[in-house]
Amino acid sequence: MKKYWTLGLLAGLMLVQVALPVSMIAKRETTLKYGMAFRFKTAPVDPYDAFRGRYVALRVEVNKVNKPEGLELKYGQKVYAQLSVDENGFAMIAQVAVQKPGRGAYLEARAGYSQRDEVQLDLPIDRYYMEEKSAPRAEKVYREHSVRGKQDAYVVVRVMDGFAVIEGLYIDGRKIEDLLRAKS
Amino acid sequence: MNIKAVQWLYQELPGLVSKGVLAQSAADKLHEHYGEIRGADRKWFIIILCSVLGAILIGLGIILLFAHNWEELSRPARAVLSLLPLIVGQALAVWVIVKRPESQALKEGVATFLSLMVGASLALIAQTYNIPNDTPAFILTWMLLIVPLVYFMEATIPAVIYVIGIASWAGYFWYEPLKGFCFWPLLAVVIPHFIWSLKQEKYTIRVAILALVMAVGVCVGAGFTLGRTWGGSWIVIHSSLITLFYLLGAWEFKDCSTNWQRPFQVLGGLGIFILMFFLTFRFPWESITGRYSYGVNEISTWSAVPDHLLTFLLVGGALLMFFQYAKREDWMRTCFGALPLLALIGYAFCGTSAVFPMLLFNGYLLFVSVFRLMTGIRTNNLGVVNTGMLMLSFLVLARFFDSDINFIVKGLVFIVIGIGFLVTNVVILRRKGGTA
Repeated sequence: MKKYWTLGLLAGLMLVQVALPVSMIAKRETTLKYGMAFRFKTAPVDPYDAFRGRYVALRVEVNKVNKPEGLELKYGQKVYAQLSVDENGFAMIAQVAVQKPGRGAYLEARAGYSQRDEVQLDLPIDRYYMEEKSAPRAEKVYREHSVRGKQDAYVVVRVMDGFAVIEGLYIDGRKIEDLLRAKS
Repeated sequence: MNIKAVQWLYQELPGLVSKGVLAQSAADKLHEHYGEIRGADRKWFIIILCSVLGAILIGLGIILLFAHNWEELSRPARAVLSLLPLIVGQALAVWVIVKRPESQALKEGVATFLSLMVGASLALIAQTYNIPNDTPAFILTWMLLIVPLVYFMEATIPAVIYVIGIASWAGYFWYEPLKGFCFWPLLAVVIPHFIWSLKQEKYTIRVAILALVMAVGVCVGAGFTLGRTWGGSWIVIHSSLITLFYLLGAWEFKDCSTNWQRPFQVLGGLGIFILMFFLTFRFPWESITGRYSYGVNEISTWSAVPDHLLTFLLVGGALLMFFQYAKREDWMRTCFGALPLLALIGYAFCGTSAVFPMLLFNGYLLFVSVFRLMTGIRTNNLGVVNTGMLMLSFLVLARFFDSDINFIVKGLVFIVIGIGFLVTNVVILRRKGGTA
């Protein structure tokens, strides 16, 4: 009898153990399929902090936004960044809100440091994973293409209901994996 | 049950019966009372150890294989692949429960493997979908998904992984005390398993390892989450915690024969000495009086309430235990257990001067080490004598390096302490009838 109880409970646990990763996958697959695509221009990275492990550390260039008057944001507070597109087709943050926006594309983010009427946002776009050998090479290429004056690196991000999933890292209009393959 | 003692008793029984000291029926009754001892205890330990080590190695190997990040595979293929190690671990777990429910080694090994694979799956999904860096969320999800295994599979290593996991998780919330405080309810989840395993087989290494990890985990967690609004209160809090370990350990494991079987008491005793010694210096007290103070984080009154409650409970509990031991006239443990009381007195006074608490602790350590030394000599116990001597020498040497005393005197003191060690040991060995 005890065995069946244990098995039943274990089965329940296993269901949760599988359901959680599956839901993580499903949420991201749905976003990738149905989410709106935005191109985020990446900012110059600090070369000393750039490569940590097998991923490329990303920093989105447009991460500052004007605060609406009278809005006080605490460090680390959850906020919503409403997105729009600039004349070159890159994403920009139109405004920041504490309430979930009713319409339009928006991203869930954390408030960073505030300076007078401006606030820096911590966007959920900070790493792009790559194969262990490609990552250092990608990092190098990425760094070359995101220095000041030669900034043609960007990430394509799918956004749905405030949730963001990175689709790809592009350098000079080409996917980084293809670029590396062509170079080697 | 003290297996070693029972083993010894069983060895003696035939001799006692043949010499007529004990009747055969009495010997049989003793056998009946203590039952078969698991003579294969050590063998079992090795089997469990091998199965756990194997599970850890295979698990880590799989994680590394996947960490390579196979670019050639399509995203959906990688998504399915990331679930694979988890499913394999689960299949193994079901197999063990159905086919080999009696094998502790297999249960422990498979539960460990499954625990690692849950983490691997989560990490792989993060890799495939470039999930932003959120280490505390990752750790907590992983830990919550594996902690039921502790109960469903009666396995201890997942509990060990869990305690390490939640202690490091708490470290991420230095600026959010209420979140960090969740460490304590999370820790409570494994306490029933700990109590259960104490009752099952108090004397096996499995429990010792869990106790060790729990003790260290609790100290780390307390450092992250308690006494955050009172500068320097760590002195009182950690004194109380370590004393609680020591006195509770002495209570719970009192029938054990080796130190390995008394992890709480050994760790607690060692911790008490280290803290005592540390507090004989001036700087920890000075750091509280504000001369070296780095300021206490501003934390609102309400969010500090759970922290304050638990702190009072801990300190109160430690003081209560201390008075209990004093009442029972167990003077050695009372001496060691006085640490929180003295820490509290020192803490109360350190606002005005760092000298008084420093002197207080110098006196305390001197008293405890001499008391231990004397007790050891009186009871002819070399271990107690030597630890007493060691404590005393630490105190003397530390005060020596503190002050400006010339090398000749310092050298002479070293020699005197060395001779003291040798002479005491020789005298006690002689008294015991051994040849020194």
